[in-house]
Amino acid sequence: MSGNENSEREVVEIVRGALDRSVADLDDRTAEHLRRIRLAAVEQAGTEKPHWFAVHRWMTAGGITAFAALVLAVSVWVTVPRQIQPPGQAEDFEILTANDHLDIYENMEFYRWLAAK
Amino acid sequence: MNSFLADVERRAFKIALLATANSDDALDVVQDAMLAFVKRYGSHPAGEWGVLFHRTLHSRIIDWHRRTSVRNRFRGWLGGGDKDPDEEDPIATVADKATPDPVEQMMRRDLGEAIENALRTLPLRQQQAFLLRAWEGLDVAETAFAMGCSVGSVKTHYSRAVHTMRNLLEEFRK
Repeated sequence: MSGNENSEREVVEIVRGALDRSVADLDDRTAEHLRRIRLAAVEQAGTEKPHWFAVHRWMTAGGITAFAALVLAVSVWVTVPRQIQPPGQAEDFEILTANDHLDIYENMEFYRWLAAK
Repeated sequence: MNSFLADVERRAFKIALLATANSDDALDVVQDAMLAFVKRYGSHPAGEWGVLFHRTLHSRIIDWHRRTSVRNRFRGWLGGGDKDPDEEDPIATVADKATPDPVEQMMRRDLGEAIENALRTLPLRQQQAFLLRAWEGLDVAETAFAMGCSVGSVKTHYSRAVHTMRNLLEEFRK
């Protein structure tokens, strides 16, 4: 063992001894105050719920929130009307893009009658 | 829990007293630490209580120093103090400047009181590292956990504290 370690140990022992004596000689008022603080802490420990309970509670709250969000998402998805393709949209598009004169389509009834004659 | 707290309460008070240099503040720190410890770690295995309690106590001491530092800074501003606002972190360097020269103290008073005064003059982190290692008997890793710093940092603070205390004791012997 080196001299440094020896002297360190010696320093530690001297300081530790002095501190041990000082706490042993603590005045009554302080000792009584510390006792009351301890009893309050112990009393709180008795009423404190275990740690796992807090975790469980948070997990339950989180689960309920997630479930509610899921239900909301599903209900929104189900109830919102799908955008239905209007029938005949393709034909309309064809008409609109055709080069034919629009009068033909506007007077379709007439031309049908004419063809039927 | 009761017997554990009864075992540590006086030493906790002493550690807080050395850090705050005020008996009432030290009692407040111990009270906060005990209540917080019971609330956060009461359900942990009893074998872990020692290091967890000291982690809580150390945290409360740091809080106290921060509050005091802020309060003193406000007082400095309000009172037109001329302190440099960019000075080093007070947590790392705080020491009781009101205490007379520790060497002189040792000459005049008994060894125990002189040792306490010498401990008070150590920067907070050195003081905490020394007390946790030398008095509470925590190992380096436990001390690092309690102080919320690295193992290397604990070794440095402890080594410096031992060096300072050794010099003071040598002066006392002369």
